[in-house]
Amino acid sequence: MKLYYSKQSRSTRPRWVLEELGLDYEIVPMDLRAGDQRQPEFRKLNPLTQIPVLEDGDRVVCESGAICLYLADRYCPGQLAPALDQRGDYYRFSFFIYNTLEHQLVEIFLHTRFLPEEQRKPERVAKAKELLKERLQIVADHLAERQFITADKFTAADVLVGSALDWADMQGLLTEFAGLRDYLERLKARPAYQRAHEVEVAKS
Amino acid sequence: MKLFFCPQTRAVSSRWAMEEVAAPHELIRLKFPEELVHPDLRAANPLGQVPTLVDGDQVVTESSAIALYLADRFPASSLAPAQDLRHEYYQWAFFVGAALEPHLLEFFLHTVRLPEGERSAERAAKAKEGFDRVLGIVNDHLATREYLLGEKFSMVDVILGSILGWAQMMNLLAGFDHVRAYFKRVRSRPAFERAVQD
Repeated sequence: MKLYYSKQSRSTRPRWVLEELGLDYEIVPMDLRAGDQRQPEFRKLNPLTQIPVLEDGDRVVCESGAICLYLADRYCPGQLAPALDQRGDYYRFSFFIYNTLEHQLVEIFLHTRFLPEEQRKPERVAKAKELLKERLQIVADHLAERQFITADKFTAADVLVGSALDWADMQGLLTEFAGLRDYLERLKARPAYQRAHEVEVAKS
Repeated sequence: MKLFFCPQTRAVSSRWAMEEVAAPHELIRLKFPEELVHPDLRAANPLGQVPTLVDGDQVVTESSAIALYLADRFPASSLAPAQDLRHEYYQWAFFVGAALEPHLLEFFLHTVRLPEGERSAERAAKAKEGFDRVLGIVNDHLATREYLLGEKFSMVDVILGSILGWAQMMNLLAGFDHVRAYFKRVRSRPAFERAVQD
């Protein structure tokens, strides 16, 4: 199994799942600044030219959320995914993070760090922060009475939620959410989280 | 099972998914936005969002999540692949919300939704460009396939078919022939027709 990977990116999510499941995998480091993602060979794997991409035999999976859920269903069923008739919270929060909450994180990141200074728009940051707060509150309320997204058991949905919160925390956006910071600390104490984050890959 | 629903919103996607799995359910029809204060809805989902699905003690929001949930909850409908074969299924489910929808939303905001003085032609043009690029990928994929997963209709076609309805309303499908043929195919399903009935 190969994971096309760049450090400090969404690639760490599937890597975290791979570590949780104890699977063997090879990391293919991608240098995004050098444009590895736009090479014709990679474009065949993902025409969107985004990492991560997982190659599992002849199967190719793009989108970090999809890779995480795929791995959880494909390997060691039952370990990281709930039973098929109990997936309400599992799907709900997986998509909520991916389709809704993360857009604000991207917007804040772009307009505070990534874009050249003259293109940054403070009003877009302010708007995104306001929306982000409402959305973090939804996650905080859900976790107020639960250890994990699906109540008492860690699943791939926690990898997705935890990774987004991790990014929010790095940008200093969790200060008002003590419960979310506790949850994040719980996740970061997991050996698989640490293995997925500790080894920096040479080229990427 | 209860589905809180408003016509002509994202909730149509969930009603369509519900019709596809043919599950007995109660459809609670609310007027958008004034009836979102409905006490049963607020009890299940304090934010009062539609769609919201209540199935025993499970509450599901997010239209893509509701679609996948229903496919798994009613396996006899055979709308989700076997559990070890879900690579493309999940990929498309996430792709629609992550890659396609943000451009569509941005375009909608800056051409329709925002007051005229707040619209930016530059942002609309950039959104259109991004949308075309991503829809081009879908168009290429559908050139040789009836449905996203090949020959067989699945729940991810409900997710994509719903978003394409929105794009179609803004005339954004022109020039994407395979997408248009696909759109026609999925929208002619009896379950979709039932989902838009009164």
